[in-house]
Amino acid sequence: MRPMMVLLRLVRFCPGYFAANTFFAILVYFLLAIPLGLTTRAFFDALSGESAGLVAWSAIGLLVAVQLVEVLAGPALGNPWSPLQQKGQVLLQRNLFAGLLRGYGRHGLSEPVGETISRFRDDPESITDTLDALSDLIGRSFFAIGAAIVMWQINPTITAALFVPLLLSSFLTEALGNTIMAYRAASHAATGRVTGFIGELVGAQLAVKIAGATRPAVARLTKLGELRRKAAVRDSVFEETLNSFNLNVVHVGTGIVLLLGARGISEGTFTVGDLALFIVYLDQLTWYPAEVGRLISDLKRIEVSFGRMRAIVPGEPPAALLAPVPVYLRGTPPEPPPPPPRERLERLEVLHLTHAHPGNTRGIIDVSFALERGSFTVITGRIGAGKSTLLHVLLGLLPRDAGEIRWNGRAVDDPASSFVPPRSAYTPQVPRLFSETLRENLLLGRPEDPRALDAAVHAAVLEPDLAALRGGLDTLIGPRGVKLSGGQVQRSAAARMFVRDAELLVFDDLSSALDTETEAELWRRLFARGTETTCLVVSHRPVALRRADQVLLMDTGRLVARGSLDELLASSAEMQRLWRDEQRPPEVTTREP
Amino acid sequence: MLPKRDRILLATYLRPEWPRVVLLGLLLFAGIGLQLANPQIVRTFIDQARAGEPFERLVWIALLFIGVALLTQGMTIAETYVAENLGWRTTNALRADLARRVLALDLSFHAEHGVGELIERIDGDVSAIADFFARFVVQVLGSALFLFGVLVLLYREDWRVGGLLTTFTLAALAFLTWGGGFVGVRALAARQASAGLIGYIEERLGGLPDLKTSGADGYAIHRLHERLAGRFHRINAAVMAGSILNAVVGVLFVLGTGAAFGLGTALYGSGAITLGTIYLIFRYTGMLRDPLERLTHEMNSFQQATGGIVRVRELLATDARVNDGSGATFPAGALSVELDGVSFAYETEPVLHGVSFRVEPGKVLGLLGRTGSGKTTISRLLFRLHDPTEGSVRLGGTDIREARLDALPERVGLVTQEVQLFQGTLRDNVALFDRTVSDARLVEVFAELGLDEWLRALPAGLDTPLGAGGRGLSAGEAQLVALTRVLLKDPGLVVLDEASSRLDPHTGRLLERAVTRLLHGRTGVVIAHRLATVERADQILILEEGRVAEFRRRVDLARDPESRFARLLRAGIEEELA
Repeated sequence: MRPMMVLLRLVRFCPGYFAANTFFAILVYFLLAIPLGLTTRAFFDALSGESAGLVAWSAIGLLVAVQLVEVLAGPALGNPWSPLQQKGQVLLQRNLFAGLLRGYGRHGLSEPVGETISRFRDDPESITDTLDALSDLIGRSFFAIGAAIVMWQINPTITAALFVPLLLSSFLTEALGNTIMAYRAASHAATGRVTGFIGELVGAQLAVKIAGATRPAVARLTKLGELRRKAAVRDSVFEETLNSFNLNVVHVGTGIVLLLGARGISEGTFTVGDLALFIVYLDQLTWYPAEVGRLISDLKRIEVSFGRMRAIVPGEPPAALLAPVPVYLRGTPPEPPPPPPRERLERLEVLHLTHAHPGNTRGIIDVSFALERGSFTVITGRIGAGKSTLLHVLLGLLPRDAGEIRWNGRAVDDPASSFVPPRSAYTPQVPRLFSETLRENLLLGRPEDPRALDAAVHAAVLEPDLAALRGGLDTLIGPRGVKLSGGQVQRSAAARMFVRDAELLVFDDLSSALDTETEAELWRRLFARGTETTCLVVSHRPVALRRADQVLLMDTGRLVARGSLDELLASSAEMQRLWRDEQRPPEVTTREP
Repeated sequence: MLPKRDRILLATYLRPEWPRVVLLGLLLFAGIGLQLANPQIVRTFIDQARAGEPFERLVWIALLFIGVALLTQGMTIAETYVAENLGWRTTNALRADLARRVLALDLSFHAEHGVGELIERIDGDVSAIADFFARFVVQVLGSALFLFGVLVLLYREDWRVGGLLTTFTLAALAFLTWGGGFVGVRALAARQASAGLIGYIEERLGGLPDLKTSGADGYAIHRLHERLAGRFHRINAAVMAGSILNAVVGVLFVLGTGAAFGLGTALYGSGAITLGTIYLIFRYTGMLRDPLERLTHEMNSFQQATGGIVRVRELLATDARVNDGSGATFPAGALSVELDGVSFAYETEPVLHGVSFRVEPGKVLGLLGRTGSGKTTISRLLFRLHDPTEGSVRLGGTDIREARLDALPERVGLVTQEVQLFQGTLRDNVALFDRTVSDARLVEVFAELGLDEWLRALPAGLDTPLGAGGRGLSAGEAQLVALTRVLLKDPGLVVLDEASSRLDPHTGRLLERAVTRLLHGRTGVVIAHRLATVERADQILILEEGRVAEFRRRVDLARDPESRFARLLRAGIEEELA
């Protein structure tokens, strides 16, 4: 999408603020600035005419009045540039977030979270900044034309002469724009090399330390720092040169006015008032070429920023980020939409499911199985066998490259939007909780039903922990609240799953952070649920394997065996090996710090 | 303004650059002087023109004006050049010191601080300080000087005009300072709302699978709307507060300017001043407002920058838990290894309990035990990545705590199980940025380990890029690189934590041969996972839950059918120790 189109869509999204802001710019830069010059001229002319008196005093009064309006206009109009930019950012950020949620599973997060965050924070800002620049430029354009007319009428020769430095300045800004960009890019690249090297250094700190290589490593950092210094100095000196050139156009222009006005002043054809007016207008005009240049480079930047934002939501149509949805800046946003209707699960079939991740060996190949209502199925296999990947592809958290999923015989086209409560609920291997109260983490927007919540807490064996937390379910967790242990996080996520009362429960290695007793209790309560829930779990625990109606054994991305535990133990060497490992004392699996 | 210790920190880094500091000061003064001279020239021009001076004279004044303007431009550019150089030189020195500090800190520090955070602290905080001080010097110092200059020059024209504008300036300054709090509170609230929003998004992005599968998309967006609206209103409120303050000061200034004009007009009427002087007053009063606003703005943002300084100072002051000894040295050649009643705990979790053993120079100790038994900890203690909580470690009879920290890497080579590789060439990864190591020496080292063929098989030899984006190395190959790193230093003790992952047979053979050659004539402590490695050991030590369960000559243990070692051999070491 062309950058100007991006701007126009944003303008159409907040026309009121844009109109107010543009009016403000026209008021300050044109409606007030032109009279300001004229009044100054009248003041000086009145004084030099020796007839000071009334004219001079009323000129002073007028100057004061005009400037008072100027300083009060911003707050009086509600500083329209601020809501204009902010509302634009709100829309972009909201749509980007919604796009990421919508597309997750089709493309995941293509960038690390830190980088994605910068596209939330920096890119929308650089786009909406330009909205204000656009208003400004409109106001300044009015002024440029008006001022040129006034000046031309006073003295065409001097006015024409003034265009030389102004044009030169705009030409220079335009011509050197690319050089600035190149220097800027070189400076950024140099910075990237420094931070990249620091990252490598810190990440491989142990290697540096055991090789006693601190000195050469710091020497390398120093050298990269020197290169960065040179690039950065070149960048800013060049920019400053251009800036100061623009700034000096006013001085050089004033010099020209003095030079050309000298004879006029001594002859009386060019007054001191005219001189003052030229200087006052030049002050404003100087920036005009730079402003035009800035808008041009801003438009280029929009292209980059908008491209960066779109890159993280590849599946979305180009206009999706600018879709004019309500943003509820006043009043409360409406409650989230109700969940899709419940649909009783009779049979879930997975046929030839395949996911080959590019550049990643952890795929799954041609996996087929079926779940009957009320059955308990365990996926097992060694680390890296593809167990979690299988769950992710099934739930739509990873794209499938081939295969079919059938819910009660009907093909599921978009698993990500289908495998949600009340059809299914899921506990990931490493669940994430959010910095909210525990209650909010369990409900995540569901209407609260105390009985269901209690039942879920019970099923997840979370009551002892709740009893120990001073605020119970209202305890704030996360960085600014209570830090939960790994097992507590896992069981909270399990409660989050249970409270959703879904047809199909999917959980990935639920017991990995639990102590033996809690784990046993959790399984016991799960099995006591009876046959109304269908379960698909990744586990290697004997208690789960023994109870399973069917065990699916994965090895290097393929489903290599299927059946009851006894059948598999009889037929599969891999299963025997896994089973033997599982009989070992538990400390074998504890990690060395 | 700034706590004393922070000033000292900054002074430390500025002192070596004093000629640049002086030069910058001179440029700053000269630049301001020229800016102040500009209206004076126009004044002279007006007065002389009105006095009917000859035309050529006016032309000369006009040319002088242009000359001064160009000179000002040159001065500004020179100022930027010097200031930027100064900023980068001082902060690069600071960055290097921070990097040195961070590298020196022990594993517990690195376990607590992620790579991203440390990049931010070594580079980000320092850059923020640099930005601030570059602005601080130019804006605050410059603005203050400029203000002062303007007022002095106004006094020179007429004491009443000077006094009038000084009064208004002081009043405006008082307003700005007082209003700073009024704006600051709202600005802080706005920043917190922004940070809260970003934090919200960051957390949700990390938990996208949780949100999706919980059917909580709509809920997450609903909550986002609340945050977005909150930030919208807070930022607008902060902008409004700032703009009200500006308007108040603006009104004050407009009134001041009006009064100055009135006074000027009256003085002119009485013939006390010329028309040129009125122009001068007109220009100078116009020049007052800008620096005043800049001044207060920078003063208000001062607190933000101090956060960075405080974090930098903290990092510089972070004590390593492992510190330099008095400088005892190790004997040359193969080193004996002695652990004497060594206990160790990570935080509160005990790992080793009273471990004692001795390895004679040139002998190889095979260290066996299940995951979590404390093997890796012993290897780290030998290298002083930690110090034991009790007992002592002696190499060649010297307690390693007596030696300087940089003496250990010279005499002890450690090959960790997971070898850290840099994004860079093989050369960088072996020599670890040491440019004094010649290619010939590197090739020699590879040959010595029997890896010349492996090296030749690489697409670009020593220039083969490794790490992210480069050629991926298997765990075994990465260990080959680590072995060459060790041999390059010719240590007296080699500590080898064998990779537990399965190796392809070819790499396995290469590794075996390289280890044999590396251990030749050196003492070895080998954490073994493979039978072949175990068989190389003269002595075997089996650890169980941080205690020595068995420690004897390998042949004796193998012969004793009751020993754990014999049982291990029967069960198949590779299965059991995987």
